[in-house]
Amino acid sequence: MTMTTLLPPAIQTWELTKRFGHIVAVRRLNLSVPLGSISGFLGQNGAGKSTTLKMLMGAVRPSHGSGQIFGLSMEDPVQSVEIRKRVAFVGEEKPLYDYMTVEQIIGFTKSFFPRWRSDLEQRFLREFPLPFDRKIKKLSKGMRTQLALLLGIARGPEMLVLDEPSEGLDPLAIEILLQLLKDLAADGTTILFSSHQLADVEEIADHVFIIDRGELVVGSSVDRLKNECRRIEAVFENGLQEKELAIEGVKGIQAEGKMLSLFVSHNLDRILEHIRTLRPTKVEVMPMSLREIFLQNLKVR
Amino acid sequence: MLWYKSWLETRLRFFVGAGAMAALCAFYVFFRPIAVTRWNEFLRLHPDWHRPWWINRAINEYPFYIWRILFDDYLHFLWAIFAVLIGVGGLTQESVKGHAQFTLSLPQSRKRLAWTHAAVCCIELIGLGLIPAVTIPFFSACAHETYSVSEAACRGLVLSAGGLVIFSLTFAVSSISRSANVPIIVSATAIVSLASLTGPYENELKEPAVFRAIDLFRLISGPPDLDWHTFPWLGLLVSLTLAFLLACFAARAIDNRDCW
Repeated sequence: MTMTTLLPPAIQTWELTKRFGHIVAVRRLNLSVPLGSISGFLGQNGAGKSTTLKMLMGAVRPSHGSGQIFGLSMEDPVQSVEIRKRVAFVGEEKPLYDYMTVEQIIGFTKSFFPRWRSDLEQRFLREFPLPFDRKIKKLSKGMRTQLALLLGIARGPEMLVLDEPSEGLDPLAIEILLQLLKDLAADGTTILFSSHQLADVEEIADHVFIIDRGELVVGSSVDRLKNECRRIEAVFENGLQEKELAIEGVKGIQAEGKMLSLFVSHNLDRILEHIRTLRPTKVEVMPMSLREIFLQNLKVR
Repeated sequence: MLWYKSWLETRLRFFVGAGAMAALCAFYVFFRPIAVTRWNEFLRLHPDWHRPWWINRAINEYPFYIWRILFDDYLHFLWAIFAVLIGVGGLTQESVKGHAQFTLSLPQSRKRLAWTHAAVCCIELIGLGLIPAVTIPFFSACAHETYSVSEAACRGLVLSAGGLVIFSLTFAVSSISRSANVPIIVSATAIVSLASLTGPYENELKEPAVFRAIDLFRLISGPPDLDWHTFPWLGLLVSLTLAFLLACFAARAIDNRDCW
């Protein structure tokens, strides 16, 4: 058991639900983000990632359920302010005040955070030189993203919640950002970020949460997920009915001639034992990338 | 710093309003000799005309002319237009522009955001109301007339304190509507309806009690002779209370809304 599992989670939600009329954007979400982790929050467009993050930050009110960040209730207006002192949120569209200059918005944001990290601000500005006297409405998309990230990271938060942080950044800038996030996590900052860039998530995340149509389908450490999720390729000379392999842990089966590919989420040993009783001519167990795990989890639903 | 943010958001409207108020004051101060000549000419040519109650005093008394033409007429309409324009704003409108997410990431309660914005707007509107306190005495001196700074300031305060209810109405509608046009339409409709109801009595000294009670424009014009006894204390108290209640409604609405 690691230290992080002994500590209370940084984020905990219970049955968190958000409805917009008849549409359920987030459905009974039970999320537990470990303290000090880098967690990737994955899902298709419209899966409910942004709505969840906005609920956590108090921008959107849950229809049902509740949640806590650092033990503070996100629904309570007073505790929500306390959460925002300790958690920095950078939204998906990187919304900033168009009428301010870069210098004005840095000064403005700094005034709310006594623990403002001037060292991080300087480091960020060295990596991403921003034009101080330019109005935000005249910044490029990439520069807006860089500025929004600077304003979040330099707050000196205990947790960073980032919605698509690499959107609009070039590959070099993404590398710099990922390194910065790793450094922050090494200093104890909890990071939860949503992304469609699965390679980025795989590179830095130690936990991953996959949400589909508002429901959590995977919530696990990356190591555990990769240990448990396997693709088994088995060849049966006499053919086989798929239903003969429908046992716990088999999330999907794909047939190609005599070969069956099984996507296994857990229970690997028992599944292998069962397959061997069916006398295959060849069995191969292969690891899966996060991309494959993500795609399989969405495909099987 | 929230004050600074709200100021940056509304300062353009404030400066345009201040410029328009100053220009209006200048125009009617310098226009007086022409106005008086034309009124005299008209009265000479139409001796049977049913004269409005104010015209003789406006011709003979400069302070009364300023009250009738500016404070009782053009200034309060111009001020009301800018009360509506400045009133469009707040967190709900920010969510339309996409700024609300950033604002809500700051460690400030929504109520504080709403009240700070409302307070900055009120200060700007009081500032707009006090523009005549500076410009009318100044332009009057340039036109070889005299107008007391204290009277202009008192009238400016009556104008802005009485009229804050117009701002609050716009701000309240702004907090529940994601459209920037709806608050303007609702407030403009309210102003035009009120003006239509009470307008027929504009040239009469006596107004039926029922209309006098709702005649916001008569309230913010103040009485022709403003002193301690004629100061509209009760009317201002009622208007300010209503403005406060509408601002409370706006703060509460902002507190409960989803902001994207």
